[in-house]
Amino acid sequence: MRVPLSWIRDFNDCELSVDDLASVLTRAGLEVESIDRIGVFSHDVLVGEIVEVADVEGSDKLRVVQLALGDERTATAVTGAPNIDASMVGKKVPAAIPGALLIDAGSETFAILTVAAREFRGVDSNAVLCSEKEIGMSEDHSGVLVLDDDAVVGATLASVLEPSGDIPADVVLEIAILPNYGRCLSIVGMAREIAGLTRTNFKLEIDARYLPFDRKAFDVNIEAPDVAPRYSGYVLEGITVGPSPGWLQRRLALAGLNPISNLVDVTNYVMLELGQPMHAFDLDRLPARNISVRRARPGECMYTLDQDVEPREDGSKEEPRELDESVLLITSGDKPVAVAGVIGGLDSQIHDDTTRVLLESANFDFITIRKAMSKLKIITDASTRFSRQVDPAMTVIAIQRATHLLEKIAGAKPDGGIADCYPRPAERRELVVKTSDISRTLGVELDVNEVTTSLERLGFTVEDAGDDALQIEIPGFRPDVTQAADVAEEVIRVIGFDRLENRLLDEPLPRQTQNTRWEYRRRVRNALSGCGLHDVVNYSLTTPESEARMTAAENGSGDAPPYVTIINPSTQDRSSLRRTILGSLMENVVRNHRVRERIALFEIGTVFLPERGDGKLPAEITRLGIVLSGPVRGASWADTTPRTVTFHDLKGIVESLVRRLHVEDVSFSSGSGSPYHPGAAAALLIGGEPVGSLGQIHPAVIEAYDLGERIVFAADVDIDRLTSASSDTYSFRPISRFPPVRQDLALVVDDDVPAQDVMTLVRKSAGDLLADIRLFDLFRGEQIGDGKKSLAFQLTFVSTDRSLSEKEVNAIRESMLEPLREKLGAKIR
Amino acid sequence: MQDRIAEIRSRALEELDTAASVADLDGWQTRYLSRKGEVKLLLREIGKLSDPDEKKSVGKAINVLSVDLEGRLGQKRDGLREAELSARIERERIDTSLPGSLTPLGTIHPINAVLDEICGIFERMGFQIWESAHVETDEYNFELLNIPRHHPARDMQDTFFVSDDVVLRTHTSPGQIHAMRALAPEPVRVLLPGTVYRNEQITQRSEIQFNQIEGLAIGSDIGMADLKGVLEEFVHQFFGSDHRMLLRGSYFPFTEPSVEVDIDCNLCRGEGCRLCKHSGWLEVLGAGVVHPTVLRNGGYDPETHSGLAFGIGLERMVLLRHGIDDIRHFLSGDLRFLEQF
Repeated sequence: MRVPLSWIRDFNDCELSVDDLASVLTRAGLEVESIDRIGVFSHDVLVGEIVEVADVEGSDKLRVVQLALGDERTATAVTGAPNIDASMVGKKVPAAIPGALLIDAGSETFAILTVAAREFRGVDSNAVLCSEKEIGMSEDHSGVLVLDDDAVVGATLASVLEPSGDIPADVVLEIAILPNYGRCLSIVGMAREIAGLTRTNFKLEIDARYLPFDRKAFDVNIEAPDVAPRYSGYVLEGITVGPSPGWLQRRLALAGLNPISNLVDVTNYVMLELGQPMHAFDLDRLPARNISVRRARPGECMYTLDQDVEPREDGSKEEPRELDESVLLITSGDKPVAVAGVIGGLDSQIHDDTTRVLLESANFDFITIRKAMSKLKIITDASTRFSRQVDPAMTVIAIQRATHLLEKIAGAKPDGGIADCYPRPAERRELVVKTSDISRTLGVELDVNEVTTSLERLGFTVEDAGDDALQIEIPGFRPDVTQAADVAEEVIRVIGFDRLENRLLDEPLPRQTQNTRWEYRRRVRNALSGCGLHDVVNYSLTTPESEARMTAAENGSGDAPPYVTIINPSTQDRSSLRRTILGSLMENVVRNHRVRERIALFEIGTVFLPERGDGKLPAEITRLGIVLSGPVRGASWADTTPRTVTFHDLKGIVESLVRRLHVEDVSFSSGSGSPYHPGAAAALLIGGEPVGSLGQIHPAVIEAYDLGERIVFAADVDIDRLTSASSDTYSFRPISRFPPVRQDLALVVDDDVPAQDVMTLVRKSAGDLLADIRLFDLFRGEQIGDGKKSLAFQLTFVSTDRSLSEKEVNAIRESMLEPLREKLGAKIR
Repeated sequence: MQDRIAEIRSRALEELDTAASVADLDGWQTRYLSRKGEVKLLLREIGKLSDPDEKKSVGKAINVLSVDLEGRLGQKRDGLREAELSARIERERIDTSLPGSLTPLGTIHPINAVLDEICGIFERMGFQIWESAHVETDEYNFELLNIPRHHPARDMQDTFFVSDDVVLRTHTSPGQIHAMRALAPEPVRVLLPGTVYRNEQITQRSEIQFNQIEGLAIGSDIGMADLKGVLEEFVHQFFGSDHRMLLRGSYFPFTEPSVEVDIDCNLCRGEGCRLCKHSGWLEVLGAGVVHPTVLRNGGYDPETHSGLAFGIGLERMVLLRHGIDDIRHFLSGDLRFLEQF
């Protein structure tokens, strides 16, 4: 909402500086987003001293003027003003520098221009010398304004000139209007708010012609009173359509509307001023001398004002808008003539030859208007206001105001009285609120007087109902106030948030429990970043096509998995919720492929599985994904060719994580499906149940991601199942006072015997005295025969109650060989 | 005898003089001073002498020789050790200015790191972490939060729809209802962190996916003053205790009264700069007193209960904390970004 301060002053006498006013409004929920200081009010129009005047080559009218702007600042202006010549050197003139807002002297509709540096005939100009018209002091554009000789060079023009009276220059506040501030979508509403917030006076004295009512003056009927509470119409005759006077054009332009013609401008002016949207029908172009408000019928069509019915070059024509029951219509002779509260019809619009009009000033249900806006995809100044609720009391006042203006500027003559159809007048709304409830909501003790005056300032009528209670009459322009909490907000807006003490919840502390899921995710992040991996956060949104690359190695075309799909995606590449976390991580690998050799990432994130969901909501599962690729570390002087990571580096990370979390009964079983290499993948098991997988990404998947020769290892784990197996109460193993005995054991087995099986059997057959087993060498070679491998273990035996003798340990070692040979065909090497 | 003593002495001293290592010394010691060394062998020969005086004087001379050689050996040994040590130290001298060997260092994403920090601040005030789903019903995301269909407040958020009545949550506020319904009628103090989605253009300043941290406290007497206290505590802990905080009126359908919370600009400290759009203030979060309708929908009677709620935009906190100029970095997965944290 653009609010020209001169217009506000018609209704309010607040004399705060612009900056202070902006700060008061912003703190009270009316955020001032920008302040346009136009012409003489601009901070970018300065007093400049003419230092030199020279001709511009090739032009007999243009001069190039060198200016001093104080503090050694200079500027160059190219001007065609007739009063600027060499005799002016030493004179002081208004100089607008880039960014300054000036009134466009060449425009007939009071346009505002922003000064920018530009080039004239090869001369760079970075200032504009201003006429009185350009700085908005008067209509005089005969030459550059010459200032008094004692004006301080470099000072702002506003500090030298004192603008007074009704001048074109102005300060316009651009204010963001929140959804429940519909009342502020008008100058009067804003002025009332400013008066309340700044403790100044609000006077609603508008020049208006008071008119009689005559129900029969025009046949007005409301067929849908539930959504169209009021319709007021008034016929005016003898109108001459033409341009509006300058003052009116100027106010519209400052508020951001284009002046069109006196008739249309007045309806807009009244809307801006009072917040009541209006429409003018050409009476002679209405199908009948009646108006009826009803819902559109399915299939009904009409052309609206924003449409162009001129045939296009190819002979085709724009189609009329198709309507349905969600749209409320103004009809005449049962034909649509306007979409109620949104936009007028093309057929009955004002023309240059219009002399008789029907002024419409009506009130519509805001939800109905919102539905029509979304159906027709039209947002107008009228619909914006109706969609935030308008006070039904305003319809007649707006007609009176508009009639007064049109009599003055368009020769309008009223015909009879106002036809006012108001079948269900709005009820008086009252609220009884306890001062103590307001004090509780705000957390500050307030007395009855303070609450009363605060509310009265904003237009509420308040009476003391005794016993701490206030009876509050809610004015028609405050539909947003319906309960005590709303009243509390109004009170604090007026008394200011600074009145509140800081209180730190003086309440009993609720029972405290730890969110263990959350806590474990913290631990996993710490553990994995400690392993040299980078934590990433990815989009939940992807596409099925993107994820299909993960299954590139699967042959056959299984059913496409179900996705949670967005029906209104912002971009096509973010249209569905991901089903796999590794898909996102593979995209991260692609992103970094050419930038980094070593890629080591993890993500703890959500995947969405509709088929496992509950009714209409999908299952949301938190997964831990890891990708690992490239050298184990960057090359350096100390390690010029670091080795490349292997499956077992990834497995080591998973094992470290499991160890850090103290998860018991963890094992790995070989082989896992897509997206892994069938010969280099494993499942992670806890208590024999799979909770995740790890492996080398299948070459076909690598190709689908266009990753060339890169080898990527990945893990995908159900983190909640992993961490729920974690324990904080694991037991300490006593440290023996007796020395450990170490023995090496090298076993030759067939190559396809998994190392894990050998270790498990060694552990089992060695008994309790075996404290640790470590595989320290893996060897294949001629010496041990084809298809064989040698596994060398270091075994550590220790007892907590005695020193073990070599003999005792040898006996244990001997006893292990038999089962190893029998079950795994292992031979000692 | 005296001649032999002198001869051994001169030979021993000569050899000792030329010994170059501790190993040489060990050999020398064996040759002269061990049980079978030349000096000890001399002692055995004393018995062969007949003159008691001579016995005495030779014995004494051998003793003197033995003590003398032991002493010299000690000195020589100390000298050689010292030389060997300093040679070793010289040998082992390195260029400590060479860069350290690279230990792969992982990082925690700044979103998660700052999230943890903020959670910690509120956990210390008794707020507990409560999570809820990304995909929500229209009922929980809007209606129960006092945002009926066609309400003007729906204009404030561009929603991703999965179906007519299922959406990607546009804020973490649905968690308020879930938490209240699970905990009513007990007092509530929960923190609701989560990823939210808005149908917007992805630009330097706006994303379709970002994170919020919502707080909710319900009790018998909680008001705006508590909101001011709790949030100022947050501002002081997160941004620094020298920061000023300002409440300004705002609108959220689920709180009444509603406020935006500003702090004096991180960069210019209130002077006015580009970051704060020359206002001197930065908007950091939205908050308010829980709307009676929301309390009722959560299972609490507004006559006996009241509450506060606030919502923090996590990305904004991280941008301010680290001076990040583009919100798109967060979800880029780019190591050049991630490695910096």
